[in-house]
Amino acid sequence: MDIFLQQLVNGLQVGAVYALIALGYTMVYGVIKMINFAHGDVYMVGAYVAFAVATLLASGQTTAAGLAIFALAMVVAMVGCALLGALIERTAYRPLRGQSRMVALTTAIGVSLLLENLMQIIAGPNPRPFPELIPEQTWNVGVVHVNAKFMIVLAVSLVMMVGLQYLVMHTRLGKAMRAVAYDIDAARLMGVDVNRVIAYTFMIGSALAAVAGILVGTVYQRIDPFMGILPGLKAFVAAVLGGIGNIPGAMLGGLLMGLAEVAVSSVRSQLTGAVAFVILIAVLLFKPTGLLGERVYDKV
Amino acid sequence: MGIRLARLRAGAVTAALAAVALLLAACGGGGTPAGSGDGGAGGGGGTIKVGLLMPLTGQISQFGKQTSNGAKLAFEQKGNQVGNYKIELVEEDDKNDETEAVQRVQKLITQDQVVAVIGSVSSRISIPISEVLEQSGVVHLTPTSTADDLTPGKKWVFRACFYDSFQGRVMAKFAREHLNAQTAAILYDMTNPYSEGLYKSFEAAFKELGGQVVRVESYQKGDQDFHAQLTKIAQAKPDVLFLPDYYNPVGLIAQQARQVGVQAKLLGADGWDDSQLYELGGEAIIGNYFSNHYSIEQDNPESKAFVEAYRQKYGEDPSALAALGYDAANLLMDAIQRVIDSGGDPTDPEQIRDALERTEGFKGVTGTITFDENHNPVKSAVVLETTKDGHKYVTTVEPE
Amino acid sequence: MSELPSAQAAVWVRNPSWPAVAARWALQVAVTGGLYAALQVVAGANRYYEVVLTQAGIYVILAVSLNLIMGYTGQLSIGHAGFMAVGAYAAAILTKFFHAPFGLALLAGGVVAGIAGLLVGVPSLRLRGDYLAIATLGFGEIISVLIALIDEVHVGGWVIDIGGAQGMIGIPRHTTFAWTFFTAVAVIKLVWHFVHSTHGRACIAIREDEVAAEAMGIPTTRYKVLAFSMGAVMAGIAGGLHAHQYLYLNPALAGFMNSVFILVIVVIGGMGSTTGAVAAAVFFTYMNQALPNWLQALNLPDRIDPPAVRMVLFSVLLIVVMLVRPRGLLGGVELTWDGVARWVQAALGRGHGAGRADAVKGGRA
Repeated sequence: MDIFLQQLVNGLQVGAVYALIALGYTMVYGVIKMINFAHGDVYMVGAYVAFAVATLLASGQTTAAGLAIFALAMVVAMVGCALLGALIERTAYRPLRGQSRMVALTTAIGVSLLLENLMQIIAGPNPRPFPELIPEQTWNVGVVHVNAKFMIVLAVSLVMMVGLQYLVMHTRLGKAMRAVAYDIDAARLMGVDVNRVIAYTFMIGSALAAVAGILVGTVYQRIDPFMGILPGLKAFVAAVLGGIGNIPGAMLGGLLMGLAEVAVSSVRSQLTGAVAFVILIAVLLFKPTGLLGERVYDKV
Repeated sequence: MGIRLARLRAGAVTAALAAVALLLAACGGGGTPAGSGDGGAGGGGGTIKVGLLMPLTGQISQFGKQTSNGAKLAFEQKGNQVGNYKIELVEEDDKNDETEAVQRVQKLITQDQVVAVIGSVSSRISIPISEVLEQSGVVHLTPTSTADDLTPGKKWVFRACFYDSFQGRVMAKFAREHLNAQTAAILYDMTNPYSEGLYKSFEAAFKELGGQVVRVESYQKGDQDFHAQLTKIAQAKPDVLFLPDYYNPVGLIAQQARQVGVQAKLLGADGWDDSQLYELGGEAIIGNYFSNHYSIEQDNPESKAFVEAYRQKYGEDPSALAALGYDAANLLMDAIQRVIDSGGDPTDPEQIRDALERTEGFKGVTGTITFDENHNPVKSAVVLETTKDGHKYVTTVEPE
Repeated sequence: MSELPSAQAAVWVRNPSWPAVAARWALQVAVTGGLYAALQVVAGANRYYEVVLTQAGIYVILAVSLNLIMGYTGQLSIGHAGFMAVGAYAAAILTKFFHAPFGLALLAGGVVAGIAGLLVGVPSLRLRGDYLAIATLGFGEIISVLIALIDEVHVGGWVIDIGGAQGMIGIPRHTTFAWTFFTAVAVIKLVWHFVHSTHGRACIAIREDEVAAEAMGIPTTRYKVLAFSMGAVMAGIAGGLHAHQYLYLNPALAGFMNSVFILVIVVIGGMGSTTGAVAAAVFFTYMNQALPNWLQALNLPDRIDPPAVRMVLFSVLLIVVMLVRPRGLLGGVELTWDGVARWVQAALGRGHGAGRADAVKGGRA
């Protein structure tokens, strides 16, 4: 029983990270129906920007100062990634709007490879130790060890989910996003500045990726230029599992994925690598709309 | 008569296009095909080409550069010259990637026509390249790859370091006799032969010495989260936890182990030997033990001279890998020297191989080397402790 | 040389007389043979050239086969390397443990990969666009995890050790340039005839508009699965050639990066252009070898990795090509003797002031 509870906590910890990345993924897909393959790499860039700020300032600081640096690094990373997202959208994706999805996805793969390898040139291929901004703390709740940092991750992803849901459902921009998602041409006719709405979508999605990047850097204290590939793919699977385009779905999908991985790992750790992709194929075959997704009809 | 064969264009044009492009491909690839040294046989002198294949980029580039630096120092000290023959080093980067490594080795063999390849660091890379070198009849001397499977049954493959069965045994013995451990757990990388080999030899030796292995768990290259496996290990409450992998996952594992309440002493092997271990592992890594090939604190003339020269050239202390790279280069030059002395042709890989096999009592920095029947050197290992001030020498374990 | 009137030419193409057929065959055989002889001279001169030429041939097969799926049938697949790996392992097991003749092992590898193609294709080709792409990506990753898991298989009295995650070693060397060259020629010929047949037209119709194709009575799913499985068979054969050249296989072969490399070749060469795929495969194999050497010669600062620079250049090229020519450099266009001849004529004609620019169109497939 003890071990079961502990593994449950472990699963939620892993899942919180997937959920965090999946939120930005699902929002961008929801609006423009394009898999932004480079999302995982924007997340990596976010981690590196935060790393640069943190190493510049951090050295044997107090907890309060550490938290201040953490907050500053997060803001800088979010702004930096929002600009990067806007740049990618403007130069690589916007000119291709209206082309086939194959072209858009291929370009996104190109952007992903470009970011990874540019970062490898700038920062070197070796993993970097991320400075300790939030002190290591483990709470012992009964028989279960809970890591404080992971609880922050979980809390941040919940806050982000609620905020994002509010943005999409209850603001003017959100209304415009939904209009673009529903019918891009009709939205344009109705006076929605489609280009601006999509640019904002990318900026917000990229800023969310930056948050994920700095949190993962803080939790695992190790970052490298290729850290975005696998978590990026798995977060995408989480978004599909929850129903792509659906914001609470991304959260649910992420947590379920984490639990599934830890469950498999605790039975036979060798199989963990395949869990995400087996889930993906199962979802695509049996419930392509995901757990919370709405039925989508192909427009002819 | 217009032979306008409408459909002919199909295969023919495609083929012609391929031809032009293939020709282009063939002429590229950099450099000209090098003859195997101008001076054929005899003592007339000439050039001997030696390949140096290391992971200069990628996850363990640190190790690659240190090993390569050690080897280069040895060649330089001899003026890149053995007898009348000039030694030409051809350095290639395998990126710590199997496929890339095989490509680079094929280039070294076929284009540069080297007589021997020194490399690579990790057994995961050295095993596939040894297959290619063995089939091509080129000497393969790895400074640092410790996997058991690497050398047995191979005619052309040698190593300058001890092998995992010995290293795993050293740590099992140390755990039982020095730390009085009754129970042990193991967490290893299932995608890395180095890690798997160490796990198996440690497990066997620990059981043989009367201990009990209570839990064996695994992960894959690139994993970041080990909480699930470590939770199961914490449950078993072992006295020691054996982590046979490189410093980079080990640092992370050490931290997460403490988080889920693993109290065991952590044990490791030569893959721990890097200062980054402390940056990545923080407090959690202090006060644990690992086995290594050599310690800078060792007190013998070869070692002292080497440490001095290395510091002077590179401005830092040599690691065990640098020492092994140095020894490997000297082993090879020693064999070449003996071929020349006996009036043979040192551009012939076969003769170098035979001489290398007959190496006896070679005094290296990491110990005195004589090859056993599987081309493994018989020599001792040291156990080091991780402290706040870096590695500290604890004890030396002799081969049985 | 006099021009045939176009109507007459059309009849002639559809129903050629036997001397013309014989002449066409003779010319094809002569050109192919001549090309082989020329390349064999190069390959024979230096083993490294042979290695690079062989590799180019293997990627020609992979690119042409993926182009059948992506370029002609319009189905995005990012798991092609998975089929390559299945074929590679199957062929290597047959030669290493059962001492099967090489040709037979290659064919068997192709068949096994084709079966894998069917198993993946039947369920997932119902999906469209992005979903199919991600499903094929997932397939490649699952193959790679499965291979990593299997250390030994006991079949009857045989112990088949494929090495699991550590990779399979001890594969005999069989692949020569001749094997690769003639396999590539066969694959190119097969794909060419397929896409110019009724079946090929059906595939192209699916690419252009799946709903319309369905409405015209084309069994779309069946054709998609057919093209997908054919592509898988050829990728499997290429895998077999790869295995017996590298003498070492590991699960990473099925992974994402290798699939992306094949995808980049097809996309840049031009979707729906066999000649484009061939040219791009050769070009990229060459660049893969040559670029690190060029970069090394530049003496870049220590921390700048030549391999990373190479990937940056490839990815920038990929993005730029997508922006400028979304269907690839030779998208939908084949290089042919006629096309080149007309292009030259047109260029000359233009030089003399005569407006014959429309002739270039003759090259369109």
